[in-house]
Amino acid sequence: MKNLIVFLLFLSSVVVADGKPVKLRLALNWKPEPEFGGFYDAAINGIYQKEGMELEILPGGVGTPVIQMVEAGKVEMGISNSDEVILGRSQGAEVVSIYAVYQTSPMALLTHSERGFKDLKDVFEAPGTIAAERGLPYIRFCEKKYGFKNVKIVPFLGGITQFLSDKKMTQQGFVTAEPILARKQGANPRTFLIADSGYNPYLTVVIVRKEFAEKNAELIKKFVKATQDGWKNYLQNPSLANKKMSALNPTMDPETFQEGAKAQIPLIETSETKKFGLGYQSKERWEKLAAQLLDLKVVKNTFPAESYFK
Amino acid sequence: MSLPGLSVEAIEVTKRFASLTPIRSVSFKVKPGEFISLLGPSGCGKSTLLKMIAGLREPTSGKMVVGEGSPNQEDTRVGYVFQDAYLLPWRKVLGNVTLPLELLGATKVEAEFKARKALERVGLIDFEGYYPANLSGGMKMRVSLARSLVTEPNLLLLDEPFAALDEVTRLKLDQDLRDLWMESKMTVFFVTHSISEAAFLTDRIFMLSKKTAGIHCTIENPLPRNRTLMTRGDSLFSQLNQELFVKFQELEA
Amino acid sequence: MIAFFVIVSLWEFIVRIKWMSSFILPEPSSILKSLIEDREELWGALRTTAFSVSVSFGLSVLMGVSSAIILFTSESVLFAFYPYTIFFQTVPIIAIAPLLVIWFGYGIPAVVASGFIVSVFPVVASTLTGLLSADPALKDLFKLYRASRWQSMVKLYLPSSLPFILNGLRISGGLAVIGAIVGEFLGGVGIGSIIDVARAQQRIDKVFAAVLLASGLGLFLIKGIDLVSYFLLKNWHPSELKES
Repeated sequence: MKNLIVFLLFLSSVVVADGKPVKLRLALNWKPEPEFGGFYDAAINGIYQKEGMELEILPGGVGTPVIQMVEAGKVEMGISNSDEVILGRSQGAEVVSIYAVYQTSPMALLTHSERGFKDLKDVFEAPGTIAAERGLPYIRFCEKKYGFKNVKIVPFLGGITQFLSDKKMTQQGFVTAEPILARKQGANPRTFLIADSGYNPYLTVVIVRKEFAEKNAELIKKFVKATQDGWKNYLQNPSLANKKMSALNPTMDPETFQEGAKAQIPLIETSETKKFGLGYQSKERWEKLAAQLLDLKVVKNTFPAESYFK
Repeated sequence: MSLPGLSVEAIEVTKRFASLTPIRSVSFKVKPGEFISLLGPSGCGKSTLLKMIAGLREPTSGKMVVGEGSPNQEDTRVGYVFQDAYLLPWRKVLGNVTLPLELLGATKVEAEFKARKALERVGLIDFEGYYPANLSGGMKMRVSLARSLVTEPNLLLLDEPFAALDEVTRLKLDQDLRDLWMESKMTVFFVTHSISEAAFLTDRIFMLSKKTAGIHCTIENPLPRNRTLMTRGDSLFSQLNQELFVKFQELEA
Repeated sequence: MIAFFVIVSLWEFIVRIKWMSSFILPEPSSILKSLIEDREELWGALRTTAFSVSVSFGLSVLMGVSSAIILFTSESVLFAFYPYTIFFQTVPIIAIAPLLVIWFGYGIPAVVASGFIVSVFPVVASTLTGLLSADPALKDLFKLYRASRWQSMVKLYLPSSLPFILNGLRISGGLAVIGAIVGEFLGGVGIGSIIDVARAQQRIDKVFAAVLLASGLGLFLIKGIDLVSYFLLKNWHPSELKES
């Protein structure tokens, strides 16, 4: 705790003083994949450096406790999701979101086309199993909306092995990754965005401690600008960042990186971002999400929408 | 009712291990019912020889013949008393003494009956329900002795059994053993490095030499058959002791 | 007991004054709250986990002791198969847990498999050590009376191995609980499942409550083994003999 205060004082003094770049660490909540492309692009092309920052990106994996790491001061910034932020805040985590990569959540359910589902309703009403992270709020939302009368939710083991071996299975995934991998293995997946159900949180958001955001407003502005530029580049030409990320994450081949980067464009760039800039967050979206989570009884209390983001 | 003891004959028995040969070309003949002591310094191969007589080890060369020519050579029953009591700690005293009979296939009733008789002979019948952990060293050794006697052996082998006990207990047990032997007709081999013990207990004393890895000499015991504590005060006893002592020194030379 | 209260009070105090965020380390009071409020869910899950642990531990004891006996009886079998038993010890259960679910299906079967794999080796190793540690003089005694292999095993080797086996069981019991919980992360039932879901829900207090129950289960099992050990060894083994 003491260390964090010292560091923050140092940071704010350095931001005021010219010259030395501010060291920042960004903890990812997964392995390097297209969802982080813009950050890597900005880092590689020195965009953060131009704004006086030295950004170190720390790849993550299964169960990386990003919110805890940010809250404890182990890193200055982290990648989380907006529903996690609301959950964390109600449990005492003092974090805010400063940039939202996905305007539309890429969370999706992969089904085998052979089963002939037409929409999410079909998926939940037909008998079968769905492999998902049962603790995530979207599952509760779907349970309330569609009911789990005929369908059984089982734990998601990661990867696509189960999906490939069981023609009757449905599993969760990111629309930018799993369906592409499955198609490569010869399967014929039909993907449905969870966002279509009405549950559409901002995903892959950058979080910092509330205190940090208050003390370093200028720095945050510069960071957001640099990140926007990095994403602008990545959306147009992802190959540079993809190369770097592919080297860090050998589980995905360059082709899949390419396809994933392409598939996520409509989820990142919308009419709103064209007006307000990439990474934009609106009060209305946060309000709606908080209300949904409260209604689902996933949180016991919520805060005013403005307090969740900057 | 005990059957006659076994004869034991060793013919050029040799035991070789990787790095040493503790017994080299040992030969002797022991008549049924004799009480023999194997006397010698530490490390002269006494225990090894005893184990070969028991059939627990095989000679590297030569032959150990047990019971040939005896009227009951089919029925070799060997009893063995180790240097430590080596009781099964998880069994009570009675259970330890019944063990040999159990292994040979006797019924529980039969085994317990004989075990109790053996315990009576060593004076421990009151302790049949005790666990070894609660017995003194001397008592444990007596249980071990009872165990060795429970099959009514015709060949009894003892490997320095009383060495770890105090003098008084030792003297008493020496006497008990001698008396037991007088009652039965079993052949007994007694390993010791105590000259006076050998002198008191035995008919013939085989002295074993480390240097030759064999029997240095054999001494006939002139003492009368009936021996008691008084015998130890006898002038004949001290003469025998001296003679043994001198011979013992020759071994060292 | 006093030490316990001091520690818990200090812990509560530290979190209350925000010196440590309740998000990272919840106050004891919130953990207690979760134990009470979520008790139906937690205790129901505990019952499931306890069942899986019992089955997997039971299997470990049965198969572990039998395997050790078989390995012991033949030196060639020992050399050939012992390395495979070591495999059970060294395989990272986290990595193969998904495979277990695929092979055995979701639910208790995969959890039992996971608990078994993790807990069987200590039983094999300790039993084997026990069998090999039988006193050579006692072995001679049995040889003298021409004991059969069966007689020797039952009357000598197994009783003399008992202290070793019981020691191995203590280790194995704790591991069985851990193995079951790891299996439950992916198997979808029991305490492990609660931990997994609560984690995703950012309910750290519930996570700690579940972890507490899991530890309690492990403690209960080991204390049970201590009790069995006391009764089996109290008359003869130095570990349980009182000073007289």
